[in-house]
Parts: sequence; structure tokens; C-alpha cells
Amino acid sequence: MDKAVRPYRQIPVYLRYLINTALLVILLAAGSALLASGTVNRAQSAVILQIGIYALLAVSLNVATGYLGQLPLGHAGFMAVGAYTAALIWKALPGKSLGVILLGLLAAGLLAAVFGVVIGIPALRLKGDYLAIITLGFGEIIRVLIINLPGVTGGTPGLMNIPKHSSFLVVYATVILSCALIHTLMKSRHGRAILAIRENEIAAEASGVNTTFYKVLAFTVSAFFAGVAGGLYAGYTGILTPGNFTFMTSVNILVMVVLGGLGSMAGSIIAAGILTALPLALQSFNKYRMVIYALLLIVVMIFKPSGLLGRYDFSLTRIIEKAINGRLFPRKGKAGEEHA
Amino acid sequence: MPKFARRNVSSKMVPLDGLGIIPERDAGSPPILDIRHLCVDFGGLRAVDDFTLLIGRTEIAGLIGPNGAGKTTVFNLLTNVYKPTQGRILLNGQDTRGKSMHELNRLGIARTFQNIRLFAGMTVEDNVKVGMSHGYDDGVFTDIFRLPGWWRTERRQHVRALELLDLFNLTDKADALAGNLPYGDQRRLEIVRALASEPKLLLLDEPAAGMNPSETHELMDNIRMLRDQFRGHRRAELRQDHRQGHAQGDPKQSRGHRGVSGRGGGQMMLQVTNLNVYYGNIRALKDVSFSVAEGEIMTLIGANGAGKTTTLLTISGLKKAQSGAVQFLDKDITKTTPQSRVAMGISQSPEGRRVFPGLTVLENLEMGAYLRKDDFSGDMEKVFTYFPRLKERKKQSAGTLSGGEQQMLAMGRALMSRPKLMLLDEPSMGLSPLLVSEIFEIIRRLNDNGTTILLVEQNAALALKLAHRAAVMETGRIVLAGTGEELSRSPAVQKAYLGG
Amino acid sequence: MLFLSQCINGLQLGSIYALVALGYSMVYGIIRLLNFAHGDVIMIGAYIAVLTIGAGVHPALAVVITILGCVMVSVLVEKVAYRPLRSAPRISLLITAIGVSLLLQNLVQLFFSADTRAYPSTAIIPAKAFDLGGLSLSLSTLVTIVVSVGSMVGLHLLIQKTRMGKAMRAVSEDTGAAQLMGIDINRVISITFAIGSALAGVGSVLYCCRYSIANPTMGSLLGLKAFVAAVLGGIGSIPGAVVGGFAIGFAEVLVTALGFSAWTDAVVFAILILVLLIKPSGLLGKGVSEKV
Repeated sequence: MDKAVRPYRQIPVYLRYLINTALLVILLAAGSALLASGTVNRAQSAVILQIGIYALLAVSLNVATGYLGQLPLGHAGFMAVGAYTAALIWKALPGKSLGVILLGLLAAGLLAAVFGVVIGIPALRLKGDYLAIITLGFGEIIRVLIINLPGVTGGTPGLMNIPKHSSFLVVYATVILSCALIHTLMKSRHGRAILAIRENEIAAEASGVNTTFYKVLAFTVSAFFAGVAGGLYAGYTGILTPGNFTFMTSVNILVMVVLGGLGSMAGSIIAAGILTALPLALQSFNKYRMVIYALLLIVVMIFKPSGLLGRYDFSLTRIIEKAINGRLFPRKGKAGEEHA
Repeated sequence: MPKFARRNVSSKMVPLDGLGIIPERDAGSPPILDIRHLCVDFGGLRAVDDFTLLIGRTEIAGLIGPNGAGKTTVFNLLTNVYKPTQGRILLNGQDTRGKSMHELNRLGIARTFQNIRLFAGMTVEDNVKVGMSHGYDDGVFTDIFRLPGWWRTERRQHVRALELLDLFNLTDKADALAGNLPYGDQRRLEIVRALASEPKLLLLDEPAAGMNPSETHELMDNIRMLRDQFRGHRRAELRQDHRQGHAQGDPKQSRGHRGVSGRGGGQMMLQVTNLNVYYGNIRALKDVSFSVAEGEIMTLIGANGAGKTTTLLTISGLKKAQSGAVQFLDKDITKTTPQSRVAMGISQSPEGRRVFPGLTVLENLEMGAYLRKDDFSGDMEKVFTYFPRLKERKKQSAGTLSGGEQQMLAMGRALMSRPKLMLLDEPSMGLSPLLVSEIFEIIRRLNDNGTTILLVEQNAALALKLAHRAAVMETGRIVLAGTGEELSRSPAVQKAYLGG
Repeated sequence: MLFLSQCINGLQLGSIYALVALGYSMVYGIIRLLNFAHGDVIMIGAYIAVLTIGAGVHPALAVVITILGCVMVSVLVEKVAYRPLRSAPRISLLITAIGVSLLLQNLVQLFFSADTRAYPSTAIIPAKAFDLGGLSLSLSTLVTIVVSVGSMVGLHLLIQKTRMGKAMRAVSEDTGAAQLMGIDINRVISITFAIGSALAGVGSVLYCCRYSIANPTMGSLLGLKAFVAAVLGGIGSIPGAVVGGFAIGFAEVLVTALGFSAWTDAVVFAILILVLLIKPSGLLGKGVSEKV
């Protein structure tokens, strides 16, 4: 096997952190300025905020589907728990201070996480299809609870006059921070344990991975960030009704994750962006939107089941490394082949 | 029941408890593994019966036995995949009952699997790191917020992983995806991953399955080296492998040899040419060629993983060949559907019997006659004549039959289509010697009455005695071919498969 | 008296659930797929009936066309969307089924708007009622129970006594071994889908005659509940689907009779969750374990 004689130059770790942080800060500042300047109209800035919220929903679902390898169908339930929690806290506490906003979002995530543990422990004893249905059932039960506890949630007519705390900065700073935390989790031995369970649960268990713990952990992390996204959603729309959190909502988020790539955070974000922005861009096609989604889902499953980006793990610094080493575009040739 | 063979290179052995022998130096301390009277039942079937075994430190112990003897079941019992019905297991003096698999790993057992279970989508290095699941006790928060603990852990795991990979020369493949490795490397990686958890007892389940003789010797050397390397850490290994060796082919006779036409040979009924079959990236059949003449019994013998079952599945159409051809009665059937092959006259009694458990004996036989449009009650009577026990159990669910009865049913079912060629896959598997000779007698009668038979067997002695012609398969190739008599007299075959 | 009439109510609803649940169980038994789109086939049946009767077709013929329509849609979906994924991981299959369900709902919505339509129940089953000693039994209820039970008996005979039925059982037990018998599994699977959706078609007619409405999303909730019924009875088990169907039907009627009609859906899902936690293989089902 030939190997390049030149050693592969790597970017030192501290520089990596610097580059990534700088990039994110720049994006945040640029976006904020853009929205403040008025170049973007109302409808467009609404979509930009929605993209952020759905991106976080998709990324959080990806933790349980793409990384853990399960198919929970009750994600809207966790979103709902987070949304109503944040809404109630923000309605109760006046003011727009950072503390109040943080409190609302944190509480949203935590309560959703509690539901995640409570639902996860029994549900994750089941596999595949059964897990899918039981989470669907739980999601529906949450929705029925919301309808039937009007004292707390405002019932079917809903909760109104929620303070709209979700500015561009709040939404995107939250999304970026959340994605960073999920990323650091996955790039640790805990993340490896979760991926191992997806790859081969029995081998993971036999290698010492406490699969019950990690399955519940992944599920709870997924629920936590879904709750946070729900909080952002509440702060964006100002009104919540149980009709916002149906099985269809869960399916919509699932479509984003599947299309983007099961196991790719970048894929989830990009797909969320496209699928949220598309209806705006193609307003004349709005009638056909759901039909197109459905067809897209079926076609992608048949021809590229791992989703458009597959398990691609985006890393700016890795791209820069490749560029430095001249390996940006893969050369033709086998890199060591099979044969027993 | 699996036979137990010990090999300890350098220690003097002393008896223990009248139950076994352990190295002298360990006479004072408890054996690493102490199994007493282990039994497990699956439904009505007792798969492991009164199994007792002691293993001392730094020993290599081997568990051998034919297919279906219960070896993997014992491994599964040791790692608590199954709960024993009776008996107890002590690991280092500690009772393993009720502990989960990952807890047992923490206590010091690590294993590999008969069918490779790697984390295919993760890198080689990450596979090893998953094995290091304990000994690092930072919580989740340390990792999420990249506190110093994370940096320490990652560094330590990285260094240790590369150390371990180096033992098997896999260091330069550290960043490759485990699923893309060649077969031999995958087996080795599984061992490295098991080592990563610093086990006191390493269980290797058929680690050499599917390897050719030189690869196997290399692997055995590696294992011995491991044992010596970790002597200070007191490690023992339990390894199961039911091959006793290999047959070296006489180059003149191997590769595409069509065989000598002995007694029983007539027209060429089945012709397999240069068959190549893959399971994912792994090449299971490599340019396999042979033929079966009308009226004869042809047998394929070889160890587990040699490709015999894959060959039969490909002939029946359940596996697609990447290249090569299958011809039956001068017609090319390589790309035809499985059902059309049955219609042409090929039927199979598959490995593991595979009777339809929820259907009755009668209904199973009816399914065998699925494609027949005429009255097949006559054939059913014939089947009952061959297998009178089936007649008694006509209305019984096939799932409740004993192993031997299921084998009879599978063969009877294959007869119902009045096949010209009958494929039999390991009919002796898991059966008592008495039943095996009964079955083989029936196979002979079937052949005398005109059915051509292609027999795949691990019981080489019986198969070679019965068959007109035979071929030996190893790691996907045919390495020897000839008449049954020739092969049973061949010293290579005798050494490798006939215990001679 | 009230108790008896509620029992009959439960029987009627239960038999509809049972018919639909049978379709779920049969398909799961043979290809291990939870066919999310099954409920939507019922919805399509409803629309076919509305259209054909609206066009003046004789009700009896309309029913036949409805059933045939359901069969055709189902078989087509299997060939186009499920067959290519025969050897794909189960998650992909599930997601595709969800996609098909979405597709059917939205296609109908596209062509017919999301409005609820009136279903011509009286054209199919005239609104007559019988008086049995003070107990009023509508013709619709009677027909539902009789037709359902008849269909279930017919299915049982088909599965147990006919060659095709045995082949279906064989394929669901061991697909590979079935191929070795010369059974064309693609054909058997298509036939299974066909029979399952024929039953759903019958269920569609009976359901709509009870509730007299049709809209694009009606299939989801009905499908979901019938699905719970199938899981309760043991998915993959045919007698299980029947038992589960009646159980859920009775449970729903009971909850409504006790005055908690707003909670019926939650109760059904709670039953689902309890079953999955206590005995996932259901009342009459068998578990499948993984070989290590």
C-alpha cells in the first residue's frame, strides 16, 4: 500500500477552537445586523427565525434517530412540554432580561427532559417498530393532556399573549450553543457509546457499555433540546394551541432529519432550512407542498436510505486541513481493498 | 455436548477438586473460571447439560465439537445472554448470576462473536475505544463542557488504543471504517476491542472461521503471543473451534476439478462453473466449480465457514452469484427465480431443517408439493414409508417435533416435489449417532431409487463412505476432489477431517 | 337494557376495528412492516364510495368497486414503495410507510379539498331498525356485525384450509424455506396485501355507514386505533387481531358511556402503552428473539 511520504499537517487544537468560535460569532453578528437593518422584510425574517427553531428540533431528533438509531415518533410531545413551560414562566415573570429568558428556556428543557426519562425508561426496553408506536402513543397522550387540562394550558383554544422573547439573537445563540453541546457530547466516550449501540447493541453491551443508561441518556438529551426548541417556538409565535403539536408535527421534523441524513447534524440543519424556506419561496406551489414532501420521503428512502448527507459530519477545520494538505479533492484510486 | 481440550504450554498441571486440572502456580488461588453443572433448556430441548469446567490463570483452553454441540450456547451462558436453568458460574470467585452483560465485562469477561459484531460505521480506533468502557469515570458534564477531564480521557484512550492495535499490526488502519476492513482484519479488530476492556478472561468464538490455513496459524500465534504478553496480568482464554486442522490440496487435483466418474455416474445433471458469491464485501465463494452426475451422491465436506451452505443456497437461487454459472440439465439457471428451479426439479432440505413450525407435519409436506398440480397422495404415502415416525405425528405442529423428526420432515418435504436433484444441508447436525445412521441409510435408499443427491456434511467420515464422489471446501474454494473412497484414503483429508 | 344496547354498540365498533386490525396483522406477519398507510386505504375507500354513488352507480356495485379500489391501491403501494425495500433496515421501511400515508392523505386533499363530505350511508344500508323486545337494533348495526363475523370466518377458512392460505402462513414463518418450496413470495405478499385491504374496504363501508362522513384525515385516527387493537391482540396473530378489535371497541364504548368521551383517545393509547410495557407480544402473540 502506498502512503504519502509527506506527513499530514494537522491544525493544532487551540487554533481549531479559535476558528470555530470566530466563525460562529461572525455569523451571529452578521445575521443580527442583517435583520436589524431592515433589508429583510417581515415575512422573510419570520422564516429566518423559524429555520432556527426547526433546525434545533431536527438536530435534537437526530440525536435519538441518527445517533442512537431508534425511531421515536412523539417528538412533538417534548416540544409541547417545553413550549408550555416556557410560556407559563414568561407570562408569570415580567421583563425581557436575559435571566428571565434563560430561566424559561432552561425550565422548558428540563421539564421536557424529565418527560424524556419517564417515557424513555419503559419505551427503550422495546425495539424498532414497537418503540416507534409507543412513543407515538405517548406523544398523543401529551396532546390529550394539554387539551384536557385547560386550567394550566388553556385547553383547546390555547394559551395567548405569550411575551415574544425569541429575537434573532436569542434563537440563534440558543441554537448554536445547543448544537455545540450536542457535538461535544457525541465526540466523547459517551457519544461513542451511543453510536456503538446504534451499530450493534449486543456487541456494545458485551464491550461494557451500559446500554440502558446510554439509550435513556440519548433519548433525554433529545427531549431536552426539543423542549428548548419548544420554548423558542412559544417565544416566537406568542400563541400556543394543542393543534400545533400533533403527530403531523412530529412527522414534519422526522422528514427533515431523514432527508438531511440520519446521523448528520449539518444535514438536519440544512434540511430544516430548505424545508422551512421552501414554502415561502414556492408560494404558488403551496398546495402541492405536502405531496412533494411525501414523495420526497419515499423516493429518498428507496434510493438513498441514509438520507441526502448520510452520516456526514461537517467540520470546517477538517476542510481547512484538507485544503492545506492538498487533499481537498479526492484522488482516484483504491485506498486498500478487501479480500479474505 | 462440546468436548473440552486443554493446551497449556509451559506450566505444570495439578488436579483440582477431582474435576479438572489447573496450572500449579494457581493451585492456591481460585480458578479464573469455575463452572459447575451448567444446564440450559430452550423450550423442551436441553441444549447444555451438566457442563463443568475449570480454567486457571494464563491458560488457553479450547472448546471443540461439531455444529450444534452447544459451544456458542456455553459462551452465551458465560456472558449472561441466556440464563442457565441450573448450575453456577464463578468468575474469579464471584457468582455471575443476574449480572447484566456490561457488568460482567466490568468484572473481567470479554468476548468475540461467531458472526463478527463490529461497529461497522465507526473507525477502527473508535471501535477499540468503545471497548475501554470502564476505568474512566468522568461524568457526562465533564465531556460536554470540555473540562480538563475530557482532554485527559481522550489522550489516554487514544494512546492505549494505538498500543493495542499495534499488537495486531492494525495501527495504520486506525482511521479506516471498521466495515471496510478485510475479513481477517475484522476478526483481529474484534479481539483488540475485547482486549481493550482489560479482561481477565477472554472468550474467542470461532476466531478463525473463514480463514485459510496460513491466516489461521498466524492468528493462533497472535493468541499465544497475547497470552505470553499479558502473563503479568493473569489472563486466560477460552477458544472454540471445531476444526482440527486443514487438508492441503494436491495442486493437480484442486481448482475446477470435475471429478472422476465412479459408480453411479451418468449424465451431467448439475454443473457449477466459477461461482463467485459475496456477502457484502466478503467473498464467500471463490471460483467454485464442480458437477453432479445423474444418479450419484456427491458430497461437499469442509469446516464451518467454508462456503458449503452458501453453495447450496446459490444453487437453489436464494443467493445471487456475482459471477459464474449454474447449469441444470443443460439449461443455464444462474439468473432464474428460486421457484422456477424447484419447478425444474431441484429441492433442498436446508441447514437447520427450517420446517414451518406453526404448520402441521401434513401441511409441511403439502407445502413441499406446492407446485404439483396432480394428486400427490401417493408421494405422501411414500414419505411415510421412509419415515414412519412422521405418519404417527401427521397432525402435530412441526415446531413440537424433536430434532431428528424435524430432519425427517425436512427431507420428506423436499421429496414431495419429486425432485430430480435433492440438496441436503447438514442432515446430521445435532442428531444422535443412531439417528444419523438411520438418516444416512434413508439417503442411500433414496439414491438407490433414483434421486440424485448433493450432500453437504460436516460429518466427513459418514459422508465419504456414502458418496460416490466428493469435494473438500476450504474458505470458499474447492481444494480437493475425487471419489469418496479416494478422499477417505487421502492422508491430508484423514488428518484434517477424519481424526486420523 | 342500556347495558345491552351498549354491548351491541361495542360489538359493532369492535367488529369494524377487528376488520381493519386484521389487515395490519396480516401484513406485519408476512413482512414485519407496520403499514402506517393502512388506515388511509380506508379513507380512499370512503371517497370511492362517495364518488361512485354520487355518479349514480347502484349501491351494491359501488361497494364492490370500493373494495376493488382499496385492493388496487394497496397492491400498487406494495409493489412500488415497499418491495424495493424488502431487505432494507426496518427504520427505512417504517419511514416509507409514513411517507405513503402522508402521500395518500395529501393527494386526496389536493383533489377533493380538506372538507368533510357527507357519506351516502342510507343508500348502502337503508335506515331501518328492528325492535327486539324494547331493544332497538338498527339494520346498519346488524349488517356490520354479520358481515364482519362472516368475513372473519371466511378469512380463517382461507388461512387454515386453502393452499394459498397455508403458503401465506409458510411465508410469514420462514421466507427462505418457503422459497425452497417453490412458493413465489412476491405473489404471496401481494395477495396478503390484497386480502388485508379487501377487509379494510369492507370495514370502510361499514365504518362510514355508521358515521356518515368522509374527509382526508379520517383514516389516521381509525387506523391508529385499529392498530392499537392489532398490537393488543398480538401483531401478526390473526385471532389476536379479532380479540384486540373487540376489546378496543368495547373499551371505547365503555369510556364514552361512563361520560369521559373526551378521553377516549387517551384511553386507547394508554391501553397501547400498558400492553407494550407488560407484554409487547400482545395477548395472543409470540415474541421473536435475536440470535447471538
